[in-house]
Amino acid sequence: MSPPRGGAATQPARSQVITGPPLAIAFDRDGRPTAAALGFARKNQVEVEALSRVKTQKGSYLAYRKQVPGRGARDILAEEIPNAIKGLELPKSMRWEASQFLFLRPIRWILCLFDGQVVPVQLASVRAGDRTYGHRILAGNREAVVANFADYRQKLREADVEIDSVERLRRIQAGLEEAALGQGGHLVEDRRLLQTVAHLNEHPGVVCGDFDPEFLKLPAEVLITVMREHQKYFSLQDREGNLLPKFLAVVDSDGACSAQIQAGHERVLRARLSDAAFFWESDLKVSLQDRIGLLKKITYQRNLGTLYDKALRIKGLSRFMVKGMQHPELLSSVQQAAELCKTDLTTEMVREFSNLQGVMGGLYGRAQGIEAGVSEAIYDHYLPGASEDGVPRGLAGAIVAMADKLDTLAGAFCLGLIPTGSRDPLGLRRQAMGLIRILLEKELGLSCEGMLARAYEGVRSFADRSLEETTLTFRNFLKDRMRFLFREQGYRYDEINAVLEVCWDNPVEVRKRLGAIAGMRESSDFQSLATSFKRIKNILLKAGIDPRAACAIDPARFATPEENLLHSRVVAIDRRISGALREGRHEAALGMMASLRPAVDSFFDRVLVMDEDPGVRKNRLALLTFLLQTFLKVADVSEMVAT
Amino acid sequence: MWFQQLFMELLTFWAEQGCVIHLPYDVEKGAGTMNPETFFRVLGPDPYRVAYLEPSRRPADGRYGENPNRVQKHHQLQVVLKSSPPEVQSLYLKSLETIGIDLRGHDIRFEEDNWESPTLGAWGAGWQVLLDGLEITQFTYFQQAGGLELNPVSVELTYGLERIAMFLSHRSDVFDLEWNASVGYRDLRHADEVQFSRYNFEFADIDLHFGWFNDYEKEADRLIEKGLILPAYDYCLKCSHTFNVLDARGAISVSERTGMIQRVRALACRIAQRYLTGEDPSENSGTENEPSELN
Repeated sequence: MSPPRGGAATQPARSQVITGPPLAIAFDRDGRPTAAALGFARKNQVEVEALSRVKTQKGSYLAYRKQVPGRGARDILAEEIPNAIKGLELPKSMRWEASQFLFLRPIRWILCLFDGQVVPVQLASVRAGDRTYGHRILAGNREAVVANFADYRQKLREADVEIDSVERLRRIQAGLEEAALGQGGHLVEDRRLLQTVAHLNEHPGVVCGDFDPEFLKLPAEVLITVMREHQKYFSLQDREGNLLPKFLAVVDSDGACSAQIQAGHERVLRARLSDAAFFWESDLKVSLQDRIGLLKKITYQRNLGTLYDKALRIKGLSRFMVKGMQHPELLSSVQQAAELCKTDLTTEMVREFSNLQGVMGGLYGRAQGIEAGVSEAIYDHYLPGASEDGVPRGLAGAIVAMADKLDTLAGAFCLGLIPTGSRDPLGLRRQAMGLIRILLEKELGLSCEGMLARAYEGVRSFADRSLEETTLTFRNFLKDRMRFLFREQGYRYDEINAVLEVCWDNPVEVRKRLGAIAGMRESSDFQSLATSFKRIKNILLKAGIDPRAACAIDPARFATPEENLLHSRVVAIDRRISGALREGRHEAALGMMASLRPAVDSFFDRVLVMDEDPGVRKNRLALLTFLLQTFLKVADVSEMVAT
Repeated sequence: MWFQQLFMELLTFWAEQGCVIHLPYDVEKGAGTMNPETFFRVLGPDPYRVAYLEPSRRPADGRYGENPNRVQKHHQLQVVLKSSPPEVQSLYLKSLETIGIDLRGHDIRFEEDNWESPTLGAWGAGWQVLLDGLEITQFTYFQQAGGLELNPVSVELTYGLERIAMFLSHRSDVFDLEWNASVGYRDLRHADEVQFSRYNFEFADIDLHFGWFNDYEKEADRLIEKGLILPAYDYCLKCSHTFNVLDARGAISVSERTGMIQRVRALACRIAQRYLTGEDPSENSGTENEPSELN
């Protein structure tokens, strides 16, 4: 919340013209006002003499120029504030009193001042006043009369409420760091938790507590999750990254009784950790292998079979991927990881902490003696979840992760479940982004549409969309994600569009081309080429020629040396560009494009494309089509904006 | 403070606030909300205030008496204030002081928490009240019950008595609580926990329970048609408890689960409707939300 900036206390006055009856019927022959004129004057509460005349397209009318005084800011605020509050989009609102007013929680008082005076706002059954109340417990709900914004902040500060969330955050962070230092440990960073607690406390303080080191036999992931999810506690670790048997709680207290508060929090955490230990022990009694059968009882998603079905699909898809990648040595661990990757959804721990899915599978697998590569792949296969997450560590994990995501995407798209606006209940955007990031960060030059087609095979029996339709949805979806991702990485949108127009299936390839284009775009040859490219596109468009259609060029019909020159240059370069792209020499390919500039320029200088002879014209258009197609092998540079 | 003292003092406090002090209802249930004194009283326009103790059974929470914090039967103290008074939050804090909690000496907070009972077609918005990180009360502005919008809105306060008692007596094991000067919580409750855990997890006869579920549903259905709403509600509660036993027993698959919750909910909604209007809405129901979990 920031204090209001200065503004005028009133709107300026303005005049408003109210049109009355036509002059012809407003006055009689003698120029005396008729009943129509008198009636209009009466309606506006003025004498006829005070009225004026206006001329419009339809004729002349009697009119009243009304002076509308500016309204005071307070009046406007009194009207607008309730509208603004009623207009808020609330996730889940409630009623609490006879007025049936809807809000997040009951409104008990309103403080609303402008220029030191109460703005007469009313919401629900509450009228605004000039007072607020301090911390319900620490300050005993003390009433404070407020004069202005600075006074408001100050009085609440004195009454143990810090209204500035940035200040609360700062105070919490400082408190956490100081406490960590005091314990000889380091804070396990958690930005999201920090944000949460900054909004859960009006008068934040930090309390440090201990837990029984016996619990350290539980994996750190479990301990940290229990502390964060159940209790909103921060964890501490030593210099080597080992968890310490300690926690930091952010409390709404002035620190007066922190020993007592600490003891309370310790007791609660002990109970939570006992529960987690119970889950850990009892989950370990059933091997992941034995849990595979349990997956048959769990629906993955309506119309997409059980989790068992999904695991089988992931297995099939990852086998296909391993083959495509020529890493046969990975096959057995990838297959085992795929089979087991969903089994932890049957454990108590994951039922309690769904965000530990995958992680628990990996940990249980390791504890049960499953090969390290397999456990790691299971552990990592949901990665990357959020944008700050890394991708799976190893290749096996990356393959299972991609297979899982592709299956989810193929399943949703083949049923027409496509995210719209802010609604993406299945998290498909995150899945697609994860797929792209894995391909990029692992430098895997795989065809996304090829993998999707294989994934579609798995869900074909559920599909109500064809492979073609599903692929098209997937393609556009993937392009949008890449657009977003590459923008974040600093590429310009026109560069991205230029590449995605012709190349989208293999994100690694997309990135290479982007790099090459970004490096070339400032050169003058390239700029002029972009201009010619647009020109060619326009010519073909006007001539009604599909730039992607096959083109038959007859060199015998060329009438000018420029045509011959351009043709021979393009033929030579076309093959070389394909070769360069195959070999990953993208800068070279672009350089070849740029080297065409003199031939293109002289062609346009000397040759009239739309020749009178239809045969010559057709041949020239075919040459341009061929040229365009050569360019399009690299990127659609007509998308580029001049710099 | 003894366990019995705790609920006696809370009941006395709420009696002074004009609450009828009622008794637990003698059908198994997962929460105090399911007592007819809440389920029916929050419906309709008439003001009402009630408080009562309610033993609450959650078969899946059983731990054979070995876990210091989880039990398959715990005790709730339920307060319903209809309509919700503006000073309800202060009243609630005062009740904590009554049982000896020094508010200033602790970290007490009201954290956003929306409560929902899919089987009862009920939900509300409110807070979980945390005392030094321990959830001691669910504080709810009741919005809907039996699928019906509530007007006026009631406030429901559900105190978790074992937790509060452990807090007050600095015990970390529920079985170390003292019920009174000479009898411990362990003496009264431990065998119960061991035996019911074994029953719920290992010995409950699955086929019998599935059969009962169907029979109870049939009986409730028949009674609703006859307009015998209160007995019908008993059988709706029995369905709910039977479901919970089957769930703890691991006998319900995920797909069955949703369907069974919906069946109990359908009964609850018809009962509520019939109670209020005398009409059975079963002919034209089906606009309810998907239930997600069972409380």
